[in-house]
Amino acid sequence: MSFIKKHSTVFWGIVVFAVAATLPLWLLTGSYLQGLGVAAIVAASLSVAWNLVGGYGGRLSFGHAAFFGLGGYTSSLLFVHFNVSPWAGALAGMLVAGIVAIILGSITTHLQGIYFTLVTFVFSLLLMNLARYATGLTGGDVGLSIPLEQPSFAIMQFRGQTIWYYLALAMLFIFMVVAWLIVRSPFGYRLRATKDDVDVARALGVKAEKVKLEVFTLSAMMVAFAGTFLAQYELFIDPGSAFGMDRSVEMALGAIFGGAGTLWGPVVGGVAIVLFGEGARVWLEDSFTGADIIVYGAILIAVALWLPGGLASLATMVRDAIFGKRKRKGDQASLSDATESNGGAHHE
Amino acid sequence: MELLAQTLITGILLGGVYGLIAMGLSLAFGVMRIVNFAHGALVAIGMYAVIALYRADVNPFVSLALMVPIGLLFGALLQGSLLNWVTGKSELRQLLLTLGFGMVVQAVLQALFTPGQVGLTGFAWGSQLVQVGPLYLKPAHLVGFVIAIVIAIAFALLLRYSALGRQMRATVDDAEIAESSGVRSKYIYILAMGIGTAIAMIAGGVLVTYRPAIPTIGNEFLLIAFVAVVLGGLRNIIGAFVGGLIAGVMQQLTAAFVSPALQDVGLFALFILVLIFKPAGLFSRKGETV
Amino acid sequence: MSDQLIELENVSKSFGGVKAVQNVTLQIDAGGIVALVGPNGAGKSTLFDLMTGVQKLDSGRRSLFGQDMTRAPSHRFAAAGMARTFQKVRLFESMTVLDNVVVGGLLTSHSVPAAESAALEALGRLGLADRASSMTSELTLIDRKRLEMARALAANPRILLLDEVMTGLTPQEVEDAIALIQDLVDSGVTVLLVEHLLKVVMRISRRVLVLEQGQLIADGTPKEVQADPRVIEAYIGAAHGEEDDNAAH
Repeated sequence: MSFIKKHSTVFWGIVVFAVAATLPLWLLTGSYLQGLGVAAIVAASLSVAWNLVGGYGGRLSFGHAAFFGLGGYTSSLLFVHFNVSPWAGALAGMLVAGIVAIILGSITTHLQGIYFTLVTFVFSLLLMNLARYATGLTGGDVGLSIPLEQPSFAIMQFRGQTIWYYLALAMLFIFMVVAWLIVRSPFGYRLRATKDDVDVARALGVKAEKVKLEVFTLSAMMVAFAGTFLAQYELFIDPGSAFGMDRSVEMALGAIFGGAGTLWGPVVGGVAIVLFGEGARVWLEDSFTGADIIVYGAILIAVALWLPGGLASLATMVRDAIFGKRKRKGDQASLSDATESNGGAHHE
Repeated sequence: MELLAQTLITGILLGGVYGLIAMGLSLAFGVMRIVNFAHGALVAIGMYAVIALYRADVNPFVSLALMVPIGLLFGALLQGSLLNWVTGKSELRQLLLTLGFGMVVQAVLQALFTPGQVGLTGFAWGSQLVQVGPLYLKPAHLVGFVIAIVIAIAFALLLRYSALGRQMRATVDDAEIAESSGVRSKYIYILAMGIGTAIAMIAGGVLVTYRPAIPTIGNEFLLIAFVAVVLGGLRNIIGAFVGGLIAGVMQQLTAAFVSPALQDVGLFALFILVLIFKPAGLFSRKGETV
Repeated sequence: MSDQLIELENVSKSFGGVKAVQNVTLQIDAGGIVALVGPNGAGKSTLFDLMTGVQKLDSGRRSLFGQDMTRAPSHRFAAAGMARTFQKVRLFESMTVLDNVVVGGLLTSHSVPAAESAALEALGRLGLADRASSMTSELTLIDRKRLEMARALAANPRILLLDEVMTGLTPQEVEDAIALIQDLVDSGVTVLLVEHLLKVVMRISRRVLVLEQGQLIADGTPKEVQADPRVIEAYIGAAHGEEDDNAAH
């Protein structure tokens, strides 16, 4: 069994990130393209984090923006009012998001399907309304600007796009490693079992409530970090874009479009959505505003009608068509990769 | 005390319209088991349709009558050509499809009109206050409420006493049994969607007589509809109307006694609490599971 | 007593107004095969659910391996060494054959590689080792049943509850199943079976419990039970219902 085949995820992962690291040198030149790269990578990161709950966990959260906003606002407020370094602020934001996630997660642990989705949806909007209201604290609807100071690593402000690109890539890398470790771990198996059939999982000793709560909290903390990242990158945060429905839907859409419940699906999906959205915006800019909304809507409809398993299921279909459905003999080496089998099919 | 009475009345008047919207949503869920994330967009379409007709010098209240055939047709088309592909399929697909459709509607409205607010400029019924006893009311609120109540009662009667209503209720209670006892599901779905859409569009038309429209307004009403439907119990169509009334009152009370900016927060909090403690709705029987 | 596995004391369970299980008291000791039989609708699956913690008791007490489990959730039953299959085969459909069994293995192994070893061993016993990387959707019904069994076995249980495993099997497959069950018993696992195939059950069990309309009407050796007039009456009375039901299977 060749070394590459045995560790194919790790191998291809390293290849992908290595290639991505070289992109600013030859493909993504100039600040516009690099900025696009940052947006795409951040979207991918958010989708990877969402995928833990929504894909592997099988619980559609339409309110993950709540944690994104909590992270972003915590670090921003700490910096603006108390001069706390955004790095420490990011940790604080993750802590806040984690605590909120534990509370919200505990009280919603019994909710299934659409009820869970609705509660998360409404919760995020509740936070948005509160953020709009607390103008003294958050600057209200107008938003909070983070003062640009002498760029330095300590205050997480950098000149130019390039460093942000690599920082984003590092964030995505860490998120992917976390996801990969989870999928291969006992926790990952228990999570997927809970998603597929919670009663059977319990009958096999899985503490379903604990598993659901843990993954929800972890996902929330990851998303919160990304919230700090984006707030620092844009030097601005406002209730609508931080807590709003668009943010939540984007995260979910990236994972679903790429293939929920797969390792690379959210990455591909997140990047694709940003690129499509930007493409539509540029192409239709003169015709009308709101082009990216039509793109999102069209993607949603297309996925719903034809490709609920996302691009990953499309890739599987293509592969099967070309190579035929192989019934691989029980070789041990490739079994650890079997954990990435497409989870999207379950949604049927 | 007067403020309380004023608030309650306004809450009820608005709540009636919310209840109407909620009934449409509940109908879709009850009959077709579809969670229609585009329902708010249908309300928005109603709003904009009335605006467009108003600009062509059609009286808004006359337009409301037009919303019936337009809504029935649009809803029927929507179900027959788009939604039926996901009826009976996974919740994820329904959610994505309806959400996507809602977004497309939003973008189209934005393109046809403007991203900003548009309203019925110069429509006095919606802006002037009229004194009724110790209270001040907008005529449009009152008329809107009356229309909402009339339609709700008509619909309730339809559900209870007509053949169509019986068939719809049968599908709500158990789709499989209904199917095997001769209820032609596909046609029921189309009719139900048509009715639900017509109701939503009428509600939109009513709303625009006293508040301006903006392409994203669908989301606001979608939320309120969800809250109302959950309060009333997801399968309880009449309960949804009552849920709407409660939502309206809750919203106005919060606006008057806490802060207008927080008017939805109280609603959302109530929503979450109900889902946690009584997921089958405020009027559910004990032990009814979700 | 270390030999006592399951104990139910006066347990009852109702759904809606229907009493599925009424005042059942029984004790199951280690070793051999114990069968739970009864006409359709007698409450056998519900009793299983009560024994495994899948359903809560309305009244009464239950214990497993001497520990009180009256209020315990089902994952504690599993952790204590009890595994089961379900009447309608329930697999994890988004996972491969191997991964399904690994979930079972994780009950006693603490790492994925260890669980995978246990899983492959279980799959081997059930003749599924060469399908390890297939998806569950690719399996035939008999293989799905085998997979469910393998998953339960990988958890290394002390007691295994099988809910109508033989339904839908050919006579040869039934014999294979019996051989497997005997193997398990020889290796120290106690097996509790719910079955419709009375002849088979009487042949292999050391003890038979008969349930009718939620109540335990007989409890003894196969010979004793077969001669019990109440049992005979219960089955004749329900004979027609059972025929229809078997056809549906």
